[in-house]
Amino acid sequence: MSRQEILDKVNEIFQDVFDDETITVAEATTAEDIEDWDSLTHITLISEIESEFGFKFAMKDVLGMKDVGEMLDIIEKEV
Amino acid sequence: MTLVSFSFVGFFFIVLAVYYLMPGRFQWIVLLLASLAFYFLSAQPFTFLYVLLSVATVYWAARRIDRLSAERRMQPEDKQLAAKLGRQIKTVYILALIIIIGMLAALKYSNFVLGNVCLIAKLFAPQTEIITVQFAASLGISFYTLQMAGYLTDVYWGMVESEKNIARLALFNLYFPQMISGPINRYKSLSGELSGKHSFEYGKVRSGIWRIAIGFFKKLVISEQLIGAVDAVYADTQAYGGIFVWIGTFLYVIQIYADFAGCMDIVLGVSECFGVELAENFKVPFTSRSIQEFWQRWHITLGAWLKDYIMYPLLRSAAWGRLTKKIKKSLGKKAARQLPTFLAMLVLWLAMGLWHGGGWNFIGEGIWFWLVIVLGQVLKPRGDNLLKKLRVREESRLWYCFQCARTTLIYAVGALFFKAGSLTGALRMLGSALNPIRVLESACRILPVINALDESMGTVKLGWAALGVLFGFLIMIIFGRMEKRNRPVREWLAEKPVVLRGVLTVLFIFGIIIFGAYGPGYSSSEFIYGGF
Amino acid sequence: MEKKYNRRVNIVWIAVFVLCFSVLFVLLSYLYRPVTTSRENICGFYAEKKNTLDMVYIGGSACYVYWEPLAAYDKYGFTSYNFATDAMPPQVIRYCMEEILKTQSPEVFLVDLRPFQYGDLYDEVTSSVNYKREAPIRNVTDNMNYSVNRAAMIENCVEGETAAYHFDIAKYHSLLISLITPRNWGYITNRHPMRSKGFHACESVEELYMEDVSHIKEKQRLSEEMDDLLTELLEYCKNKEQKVLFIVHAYQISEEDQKKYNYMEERIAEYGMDYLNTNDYAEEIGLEPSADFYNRDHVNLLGADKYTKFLGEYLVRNYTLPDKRNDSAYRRWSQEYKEWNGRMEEIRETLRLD
Repeated sequence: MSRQEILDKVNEIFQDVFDDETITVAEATTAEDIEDWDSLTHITLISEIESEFGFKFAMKDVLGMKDVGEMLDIIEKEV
Repeated sequence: MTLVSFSFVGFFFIVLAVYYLMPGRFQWIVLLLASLAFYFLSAQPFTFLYVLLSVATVYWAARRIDRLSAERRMQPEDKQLAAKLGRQIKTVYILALIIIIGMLAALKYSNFVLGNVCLIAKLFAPQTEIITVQFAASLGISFYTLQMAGYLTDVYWGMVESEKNIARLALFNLYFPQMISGPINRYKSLSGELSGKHSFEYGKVRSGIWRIAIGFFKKLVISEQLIGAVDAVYADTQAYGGIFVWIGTFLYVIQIYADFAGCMDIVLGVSECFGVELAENFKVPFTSRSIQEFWQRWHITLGAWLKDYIMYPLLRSAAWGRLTKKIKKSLGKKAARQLPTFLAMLVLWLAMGLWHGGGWNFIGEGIWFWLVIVLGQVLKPRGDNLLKKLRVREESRLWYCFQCARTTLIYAVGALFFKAGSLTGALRMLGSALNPIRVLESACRILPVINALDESMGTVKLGWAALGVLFGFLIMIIFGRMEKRNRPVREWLAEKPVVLRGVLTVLFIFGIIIFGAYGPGYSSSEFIYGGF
Repeated sequence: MEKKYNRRVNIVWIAVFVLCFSVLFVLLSYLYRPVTTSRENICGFYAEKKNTLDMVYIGGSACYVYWEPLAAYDKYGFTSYNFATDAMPPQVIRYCMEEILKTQSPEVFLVDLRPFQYGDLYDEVTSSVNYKREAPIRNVTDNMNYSVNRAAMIENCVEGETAAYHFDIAKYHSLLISLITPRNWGYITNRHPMRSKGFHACESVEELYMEDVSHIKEKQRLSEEMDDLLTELLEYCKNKEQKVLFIVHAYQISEEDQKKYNYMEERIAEYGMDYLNTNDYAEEIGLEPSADFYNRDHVNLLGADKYTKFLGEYLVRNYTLPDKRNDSAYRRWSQEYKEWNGRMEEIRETLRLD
């Protein structure tokens, strides 16, 4: 899978979790940029991404991720 | 040795002098020795065994986990070996956790467990006596156990490398500014700060000393002044029901904030003087729009710790995964997203409540906040609709004030449970406060009560004490506003000309001396959180 | 280069800050101290000009109702002052002397021996022995200037926690009204002229029946603590080579008291100091139990007049005291006497009528 494809899929998940079709995430998007992205929805996002891509994030990544770009890095490695 | 005392101030200055006279690479040793001295000056010596057990267990377990993980990495293809090593790692981790948390639980919750067991036994055999055990409290065990468990877990998750030097790990456990009341730090940030070389920076030390002064101010001028009134209300709900519960609880919220935040100011200020930055525990909590935000601004490090080390792992565990799937099948996607989270939150809030003490009122406090948050989430769409209908602008000042007031009220209910000492006591007080007849009846008694209080206060006339509290409260609000606008008072002061700085500092310290509640004629009390 | 300059500047500013803060803190402490009889006396002492006092009288409330410095000046020409506080405990006396010697060089000290009598009596109200009680000690320490002597006094005379004694503001800061009381502001430098030089008149009469015990010559040892304190004081006086007259006022003493005073007389003689029990001279002084006493332990103004006349003469006879009545430098004393005596005359009238 290419990085762009991963980004698209991740974007879909974001739209689904936040119930907002207008969301578009980019590499630099962080929790500050999306209103409802708090610690609870973060976990939900993680779970959805894990079930979508079929792998589990390491705990240190869940807590350590700074922006969407880092997220994509990890997904890319696993897929 | 309490933090607010001459001896501590003397101790602090001595350690500070030695610290900056030492070459950089020995500075952490100075801190370790100072922390040991502080421990033995503040607690019963034999309780140091708990510290030793904590440090030794976690040190050994972390090193072992690292070694086993290294072995596993060396042969990535051997799946059987990987599995076996994985089981060993898990065993070591869980064993170590059981030891340190077990120690904490035994010391804190024995009486709670015993009490409840005896209560149940009483149902069958009415003559059963309620047994209690007496353990000497270990200073700061609730805080450093969490901190060390966090470190161990970070090693387990591969987030940090285990500490090779047991003395440095001991410093992480014992570091004296934060040992008694937190904040609860993460190993990655704190150990880095502790092991670094710190050269004397005048601006930083000055800022630290200002912060200590602010802490003394909050503690002495506000918290200590209010203790008498608050304790009186909570000790006797028969005499002080109805409106006094409202007044007492409102004062209690101010008092516990001033006490805890003041303590944190002293702790962080002391540490800042050493060049060691600790995590913030308070960020103007009463400007929170919701109770969720409140808990990200109040006792920040505890909430963060519980979230990262209890809630997240729970939500990502296999058990939760299975539960989510079951719910998805029967109740749909949306429920599957919310319900497991609510359940994990319940565990978090129970843990939060229990951490504060073994008592049903603490559990009650936790459940109260959980309930409010869950209801908030569930009713959010309906709430948003209502706001739209009433044409309330989310950004309006009025709405913001309403939200802050609402949040404070919600917190106040939780604080009531916290302070009441027992679940039945808390419910009784709550009932009394919500009973309109009781409220009206007690409102008629306000003046006589105030008079009686004035008489009992001796030389400190109630009017003057109230003036002191008001003055302190105003200062806190001014400082809070400056902090909220990202212009903290210490930064502001640092930029002023030197004479003005000196004058304001002198006036501020005189404010503490004049309006503070200390000395003969007042009774000194420990920080409320110090007993944990 | 700049870093070194900055550091030097910082050190200077820190030193300036600490200095200013200390001075202001001391003034604030002085401001909060409550103005009591004891405070008036001690702050009045500090206001006296250097090296102008020929005699200083140290003791408890006994001294300041007995000895009239202004009357003595008028009759005999020497200057004196009552460095006296309520219920002065015995262990502070030598520190008071030390304090006095900083600014004065009197020819002779008069030391009241009564503190050694009531020092080890048990007080039920505070459940402690008299000389350890907080209030009498604070009457002295809370009114003295901040100094090394004061710190030494507190460390040696107080049992238990001393921090609140060293920084007496800890005790008094709750009396916030002091901040706006003009009287307190008058004492902010811890010196304030005391017009009657430490004398306070008692204005009422109590008719007493006095028993004469001066014939008793037996001696009774003091308790160990009191004996040690007396020895300490005597040692101190000897080292300072200071003439001291240890004095017993004229009041109703019991037989046991008299025996203890006899014992003290012997101890005092050992050190070459002087002793005077004015009860032995009751007739000469001419005190009348029915008119001259305020209560068992204190005389009133009429009694004080007689006592001063007797003791003043005794002092002039036994010590080399100057006569400053024609000295222009002491003109103020004459003026003060005239004013003071005028006020006292009114009181004497009322007492004589009673």
